[in-house]
Amino acid sequence: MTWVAWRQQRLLTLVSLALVALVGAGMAALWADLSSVLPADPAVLDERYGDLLGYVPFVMLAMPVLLGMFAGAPVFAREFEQGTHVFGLTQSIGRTRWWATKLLVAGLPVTVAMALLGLLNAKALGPLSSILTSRLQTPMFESQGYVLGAYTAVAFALGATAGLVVRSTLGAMAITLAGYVGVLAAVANLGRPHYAGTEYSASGAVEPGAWRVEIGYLDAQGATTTFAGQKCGETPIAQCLLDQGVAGRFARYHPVSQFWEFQGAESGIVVLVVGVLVAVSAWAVRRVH
Amino acid sequence: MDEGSAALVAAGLGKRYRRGWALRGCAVAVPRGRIAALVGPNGAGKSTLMALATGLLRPTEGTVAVRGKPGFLAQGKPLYQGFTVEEVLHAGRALNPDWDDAYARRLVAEAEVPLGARIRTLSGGQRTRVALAVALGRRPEVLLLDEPLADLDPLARQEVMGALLAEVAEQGTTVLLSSHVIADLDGICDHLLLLSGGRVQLAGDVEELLAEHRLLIGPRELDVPAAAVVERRETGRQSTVLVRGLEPPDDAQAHEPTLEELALGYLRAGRTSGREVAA
Repeated sequence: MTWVAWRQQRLLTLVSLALVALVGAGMAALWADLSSVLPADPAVLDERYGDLLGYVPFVMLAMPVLLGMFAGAPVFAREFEQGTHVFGLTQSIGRTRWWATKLLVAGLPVTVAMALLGLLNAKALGPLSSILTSRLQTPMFESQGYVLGAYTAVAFALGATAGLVVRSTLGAMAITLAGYVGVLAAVANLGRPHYAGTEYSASGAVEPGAWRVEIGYLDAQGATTTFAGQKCGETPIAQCLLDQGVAGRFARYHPVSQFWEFQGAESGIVVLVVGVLVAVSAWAVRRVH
Repeated sequence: MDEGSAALVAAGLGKRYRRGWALRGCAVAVPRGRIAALVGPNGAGKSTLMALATGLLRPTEGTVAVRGKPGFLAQGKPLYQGFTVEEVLHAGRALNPDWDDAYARRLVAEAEVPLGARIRTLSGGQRTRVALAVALGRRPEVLLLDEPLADLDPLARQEVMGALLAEVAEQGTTVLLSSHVIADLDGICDHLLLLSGGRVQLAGDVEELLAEHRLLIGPRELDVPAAAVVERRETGRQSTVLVRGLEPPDDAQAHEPTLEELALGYLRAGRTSGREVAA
């Protein structure tokens, strides 16, 4: 069955891997270029790489869902569209083996390739963490590290499972796109702030590349207080702060050193979602006829 | 019939889809070594019965069993369109541990289909021959063919049936072959299974069934005991009556029906009762 599954998916897999290799070559060039100027002042890095960072993370965000739509959605849906699932399911090999082999042969190469690209990206994008957004935040976080492989796996599983349920490639592609955006938004907003404890800054200033999750005001006793800027009117801001009893600022933040801890936690959550999708797929394949 | 020697047995078999029962109360016993025709109009439940027998579908009620190694050719003869013939044979070998590669290759060679040709470029007849080679490559003991002749021209039909018959006669394979074109099956099948409206209307040995029936053509007022009438049609001053187990009356011409006349008689007669089941 491995040969049949490979032969069926061959073109899509090779095109997918070529795309990943192409992007990987670009990122390797970036890494080489970056290594030649490091160590450097953030202002210099911003000057040199600012434009690039405007779109590279979005390419990385788009790649998993593109692979999910074009390599994942057709895995089962195309079989239904051509009626060939009947051929596969009436040979000597069992239904479970047919399903599992197709899933693995189609999904594993792109997932592994994207995880490797993520590790390369961590080298190439990591030092640039300080100039745009923290590498702990969307879209920089999803663009690097093995979480890129996890997101590819979830997009692929979405595509394959949707194809098995709705039995149409186009429908499965649409579900993949919607599902991927949903997973991305939910994990980044609900999950990511809680992967590790925050550091406290009594001055409100944080180290470069950190992810500031909370800022607030302190009174003279060091307790948190509020500040209503709209009440200031014509009063200068410094005076207005004093008038409202604000003596200082504080911040809570995730230091950039938590990056790999975050990668582990987020990959774990995403892989859990992959597990749920595979379970749904395993249930759906039993209903196929 | 002795069910012990049957190759395909169904008892109380039923399948309900959301739209209603596709098959209900179906009792079937196809004797080993026979070539059985599964006949019925579109939507009679032929494909449902095939899919239940192959295990693609699970019955809503009752049981069905294929006794012996099954082989299946699905409706539309699905094969991977982008594969070459060679690759389809490779797939057959990869998916079946008991694959007889030399045999499957011989069948493809006999059909004169080039091994390097892609499936999507083949004619309907060639595609059917390749699909048949893949189905036979497993050396099945019970071969289920769902509308194998549906999209073929008359010459291709003859060639496909000829190739099929030569193989199954040699191997003693039991065949269940569905078709809605009954003329194709006359003289080929020795067992009949007539489905209509999700129920078995008639089943048995073709020769025995034909011998039991008579097609009577007589005057309009022709008097035939109602119990023996399968179907009666009146055209102008003439009556055509299909009867079972009845000595022909003197005022009618009688002849043994052809398979098509027999099947059509039952199908027309079954239409009313069939509607009730399907509803």
